[in-house]
Amino acid sequence: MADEFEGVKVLASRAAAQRMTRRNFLAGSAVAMFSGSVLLAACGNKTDTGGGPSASAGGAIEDQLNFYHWAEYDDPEVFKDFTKKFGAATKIDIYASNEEAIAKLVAAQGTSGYDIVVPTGVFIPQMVQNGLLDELNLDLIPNFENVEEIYRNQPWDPNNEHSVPKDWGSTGWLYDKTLVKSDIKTWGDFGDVAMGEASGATSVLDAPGDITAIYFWANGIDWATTEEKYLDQAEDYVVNKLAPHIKAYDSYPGIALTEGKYALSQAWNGDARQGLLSTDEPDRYVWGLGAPMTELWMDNWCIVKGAQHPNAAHAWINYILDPTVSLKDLAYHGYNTALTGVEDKAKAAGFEYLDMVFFSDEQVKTMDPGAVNEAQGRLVEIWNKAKAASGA
Amino acid sequence: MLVFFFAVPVLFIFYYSLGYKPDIFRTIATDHLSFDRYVESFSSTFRSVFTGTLQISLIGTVLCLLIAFPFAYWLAVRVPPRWRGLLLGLTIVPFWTNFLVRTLGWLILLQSKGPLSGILQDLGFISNPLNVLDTRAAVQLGVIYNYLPLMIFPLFVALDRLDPALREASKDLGANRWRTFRQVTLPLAMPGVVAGLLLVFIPLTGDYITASVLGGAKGNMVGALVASQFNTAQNWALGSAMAVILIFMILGAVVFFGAVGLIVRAVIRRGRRIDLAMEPA
Repeated sequence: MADEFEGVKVLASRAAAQRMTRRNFLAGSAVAMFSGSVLLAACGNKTDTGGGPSASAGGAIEDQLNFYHWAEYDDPEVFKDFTKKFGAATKIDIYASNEEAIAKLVAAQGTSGYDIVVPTGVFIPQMVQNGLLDELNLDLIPNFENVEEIYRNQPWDPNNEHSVPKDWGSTGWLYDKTLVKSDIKTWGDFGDVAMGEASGATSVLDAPGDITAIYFWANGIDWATTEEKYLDQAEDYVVNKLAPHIKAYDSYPGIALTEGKYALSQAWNGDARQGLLSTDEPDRYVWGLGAPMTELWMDNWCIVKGAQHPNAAHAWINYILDPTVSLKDLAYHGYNTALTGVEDKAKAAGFEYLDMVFFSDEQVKTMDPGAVNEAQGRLVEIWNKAKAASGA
Repeated sequence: MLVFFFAVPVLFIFYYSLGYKPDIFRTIATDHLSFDRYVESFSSTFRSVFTGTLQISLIGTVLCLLIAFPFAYWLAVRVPPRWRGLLLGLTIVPFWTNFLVRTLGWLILLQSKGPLSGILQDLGFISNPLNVLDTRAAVQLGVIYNYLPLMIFPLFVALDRLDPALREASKDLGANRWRTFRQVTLPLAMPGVVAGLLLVFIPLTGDYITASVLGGAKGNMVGALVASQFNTAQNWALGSAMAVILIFMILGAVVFFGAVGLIVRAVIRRGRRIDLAMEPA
């Protein structure tokens, strides 16, 4: 028997080698070669389409939809319902800041494999200029008409060619009043408490703009400033004063805070609300909207340049703008979804903590969307220095 | 293979480190090259994080050695051979789980509302909830746990190969246990010790998973700083320069401690030298 195998070396167990005939060896090799060539072909396809145009929209819905998304930002049930209804399986990858998302999209040059990304409004013009986003086909999104008039045609995308609003919100703080005795009314108080009572137990958002903004908002400076003088002051405050007291840079501190990780957190309203909803003793925690000034951000559904599932992506955007679906999603993430009449419906449905979701006109007057400008590089630098100073 | 998967990426990193970041929508440009990024890297930011990292990795490596040595010795010498395989297998078990998952395990364990905190409070060891997450101590604990097996294996191999007859001979010649350990076992296990130190020190210094999961703002390590330059700040040039510096600093540290080790050994040998010429004929 053994003689038969002389001259041929195969990596197989002894028992398998005994059973191995010329025929099934060849068959096996053929399968291996075939699958190899399929793989090569698949790679070839990838290079053909990668970096080039996206698959065109307007046909059948694909079986897959890939999100590049903020964490905990949609009800998992909504994704499941979508898959059930349209057959497209959803995959989600998350980022903690617009800067991080842009970094990855720029590096991928259209081969990221993501279909949908959810940037904040002010980042959109430059993302469009740099070819990171595809144009939307609003004909495929009839539910766009549900978006309240005032939230359409925003300055960053005047004709909603590249984006439709997902939701909007603001920034404030959440604290545990058993640990923080003083009353926090302004960003100045926030800083004082972070450096005092809550030293070593404070988290700030892991986003460069929001950290320096604590200083700007507290001192009545436009947080879109590009003036060297103000940036220097902000750097001194954030890096030398505030940073050594920071426990973590966390964009989603709500639930962690109510689990006892932090005493005070800078937080987005919906995330803070998720924290309150997750705890048995919500009375222990206090939410405050940033004052005297604070952020107004609007996140938007956009389709990534090079998206391979554009029909599924349009179907998703249309689906999520359906009033019923939108309301279900709002119950989960706690942000105003910008649809006509959503506030009344949420009230009628008896959702909790609606003062953290919908803001009064006076509150909205104190909010400012800021801007992405040439100070951006400096903000990232300050943020890096702050992180290093926190660890020292 | 070595050229393709090691040399080429490292050369690219070096090349990128000479470039610059043109604007927020581009990660790298190399149309004019300079060493400016290295100057930037040596800023106080990088230095303070690097010092912290070196502290964590030196303490971690030494503690790994101190914990692993008695264990490896016990395993190689005291444990009956039939149990040895099983115990060694148990040491490997954590490796069947992903590094990140193991670290997340500590995250759950160390939470202030987590099980460890509860037990310690019930037993009265601490009065307030455990507050160790997001500190350097948590990172220290995490790295020791994660890299300990890498110290145990080479030590075990070195000690296992040691012929028991050498120890018996040492005893027969009148050396006590401590002297046998110091003059016979330890010198012969030295290759294992050195291998273990290198295997732990080098990856530990560049580790960033443990630091980003357990460290929060306080336990920042240089690996995380490099990663944040690439991923978040999108400054590939600066990230590359930091990575190159990190590579050279680790190599430098290894060479430095290697040299110190050799000098110490030479000094000890000199002190112990038996000068035959001095012996009466």
